[in-house]
Amino acid sequence: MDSLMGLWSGFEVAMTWQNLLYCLIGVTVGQLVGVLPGIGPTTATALLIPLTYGMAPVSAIIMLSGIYYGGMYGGTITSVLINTPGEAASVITCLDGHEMAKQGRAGVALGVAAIGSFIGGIASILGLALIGPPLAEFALRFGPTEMFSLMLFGMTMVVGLMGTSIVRGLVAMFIGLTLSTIGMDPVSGMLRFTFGQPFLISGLDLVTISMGLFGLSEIFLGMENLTAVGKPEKLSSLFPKKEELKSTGGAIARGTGLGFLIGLIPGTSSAIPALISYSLEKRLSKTPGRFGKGAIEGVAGPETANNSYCGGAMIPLLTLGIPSSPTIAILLGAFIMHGLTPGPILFTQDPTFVWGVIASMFIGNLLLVVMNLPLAGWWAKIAMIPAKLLYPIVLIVCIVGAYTVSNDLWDVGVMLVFGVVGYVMKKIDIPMAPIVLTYVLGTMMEKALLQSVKMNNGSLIGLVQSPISLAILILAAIVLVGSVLAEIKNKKAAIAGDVD
Amino acid sequence: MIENEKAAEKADEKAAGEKTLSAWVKRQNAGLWFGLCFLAFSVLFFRLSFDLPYQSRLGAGPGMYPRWLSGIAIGVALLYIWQSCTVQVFRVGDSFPGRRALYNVAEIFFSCLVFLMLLNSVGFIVAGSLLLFITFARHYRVWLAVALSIGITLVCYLVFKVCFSVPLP
Repeated sequence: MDSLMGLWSGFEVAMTWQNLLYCLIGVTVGQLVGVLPGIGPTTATALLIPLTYGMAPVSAIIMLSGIYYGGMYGGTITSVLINTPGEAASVITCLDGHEMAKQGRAGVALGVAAIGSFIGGIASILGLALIGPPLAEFALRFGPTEMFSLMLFGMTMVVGLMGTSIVRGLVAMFIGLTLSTIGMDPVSGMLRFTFGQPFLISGLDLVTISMGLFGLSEIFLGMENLTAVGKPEKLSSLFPKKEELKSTGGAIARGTGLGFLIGLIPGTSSAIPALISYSLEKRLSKTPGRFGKGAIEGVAGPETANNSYCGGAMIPLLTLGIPSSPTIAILLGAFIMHGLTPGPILFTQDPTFVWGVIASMFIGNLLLVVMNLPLAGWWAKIAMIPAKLLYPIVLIVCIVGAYTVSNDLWDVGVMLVFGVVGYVMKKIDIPMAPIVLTYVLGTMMEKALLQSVKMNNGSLIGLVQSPISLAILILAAIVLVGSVLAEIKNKKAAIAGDVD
Repeated sequence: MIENEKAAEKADEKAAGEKTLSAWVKRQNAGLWFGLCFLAFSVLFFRLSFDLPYQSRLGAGPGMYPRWLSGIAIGVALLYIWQSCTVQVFRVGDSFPGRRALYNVAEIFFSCLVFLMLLNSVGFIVAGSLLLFITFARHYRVWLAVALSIGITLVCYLVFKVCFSVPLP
C-alpha cells in the first residue's frame, strides 16, 4: 500500500511539464543511441552528465535513466530492418528479427518487440516499486562491514560473469580499483598518487574515463571499417497472426521474469537475459528448427528480457547503492554529482526523488512504444548515416562533453588516453565494464573497510563476526571458486574441441 | 575459398620470415606487452604506497589499502603475463587491423592531438573545424569536407555555448 502511495506521489513529480520534457529528451536520446551502431547508452549517459549540472536532481536522473532504458528499444529497429544491432542486447534479435523482415514481416517483428519491451519494462518497474522499499528497509541494517562484503560480492560477480576469462576480469578490476585510489584519501584527507598535479587532487573523473573507454574506443574501432549499411526492409502489419498469439505471450511472460531476476545480479549485462531467453525459447519450442529462420518467439522473448532487465538493474542501485552495469555505474556517478547518496537511506530521506524517477520510467516506456510503433521506418533511416560522417560528429561531441566536466583540456587528454587504452583492451579481449564498476565502488569500498577496521580496533575480524557479512562473503567465495572452475572446464572443452 | 586461405597462409609465412620492422611488430604478443605495462603500473603504485603512512591516529593509514591493492595487482599482472604467453596468445598481426584501417584510427587520434594543441590559442571554431577536416579530408571532396567541418563545428558551438552555457574558448 505504501508503495502505491509512493508511486502516486511519484507521478505528481514526473508529470510536471519540465520532467515530462526531460523524460522525452532522455528516451529520444536513448532511442537514437540505440539505433546508431557504435554509440551505446553508456557513452550517451556519460556525455550528458556534465550538461545536467544546472538541473534539479530529479529531472537530471529522469533524463539520464531515460537514455538507459530507451537504448534497449532503439537497438531492435536496426537489428530487424538492416541486420545491424544498435547495441549489444539486440545482437540476438538479428537472428530471427531480420529473417522475419526478409519474409515481409518486419512490422510484426517490430510490433512484437515493442509490445514485449513495453510489458517487460512496465512489469519490472512494478517489481522495483514493490521490492525496492522492503529491500531498502532490510539494507538499513547494513553497517560498513556488511557494505564492504556486499561490494566485494558485487565485484566477484563482475569479474566472474563479465568477459571470457577470470584473469582478464581481474586485470580490469585491479585497474579500476587502483585508479580509484588517486586523489584525496577518503578518511584522512591525505593526497595520494597525485604526482604534484592539481588536476588529480579530486581523482580522475568517472565521466571522462567512461567516455574514453566506451565512447572514443568505439570510434577508433568503428573507423577501422567504414563500410556502408544496407537498405532497410519495408514495414508491414505490426501485429502477429492469431495462431502466434499464444506462443508470443508465453515468450513475453518468460522474458519478463528472466530479465527482472538477472537484473538483480550485479555484474550482468542486458545481453545476458536476451541470450538466455533466446536459448530458453528454442529449448521449449516444439519446432526448434524454426529458430534462426524467423521464429516470432526468438524476437519476443529476448526483446522483453532486455527491457525487463533495466527495471531489475535499478533495484541494487536504489536500495543498496551498488551498480550492476556500466551505465548504472555512471548513473551512480550522476547521483553523487547531484549530492544524492544512492542506497537504503534514499528511500526514507528523499522519497519524492525515488518515486519520481520510478514513475517517470512508466511514462518513458509509454513514450517509447508510441515512438517505436509508428516511427520505426524513420528511425531505421537514421542508422544509415555513413560511418565516415557519423564517427567524427560523435568524436567532436565527446570532446566537448569531456571539456565540459571541468572546462579544461585536461579532461579531454584523459579521455584520449583512456580511449587508446580501451581500444587496445578491446583488441586483446579484456572487459572494460569492470574498470568503471570497480572505479565507482573502489572509494566506497575503501571507506567501508577502513571504518569496519576502526570499529573493530584495527582488526578485520568484524567481516566474519557479522552473520550478514559472513553469509555474503561465503557467497562471494562460491562465485569466485565457481568462476575459476568454469574457466578451467571451458579451457579443457576448448582444448578437446581443438583436438577434435 | 581454399585458395584464399592458402594465400593468407603464404602471406603469414612470408611475414614471419621477414625481418622488417612491420613484420617484427606483427609477430609481437600484444597480451604480453599489455601485461608488462600493467605490471609497471602496479609496481609504480606499490612503490609509491610506501611513501604514505600505513597506520594513523584513526587506525589504518592512507597507505594501507593501496599497498595491499597494488601488491595483489602485481600478482594478477604476473598471472596475466603467464596466461598471455601460454594459454591465449594475441599476436599484434592477428588482433589489430591492417595498415589502411589502422591509418583511419591514427587519423582520429592525431586529429584529437591537433585539437588539444590548438584549442586554447585559436579557439573552438577553428580547432574543431580542423579536427573534423582532418577526418573528412580523405573521404569527401575538399570543398565538401571544408563545408561539413565548419558547419558541424558551428552547430556544436551554438548548441553547447548558447543552449548549455558551456564556456568554450
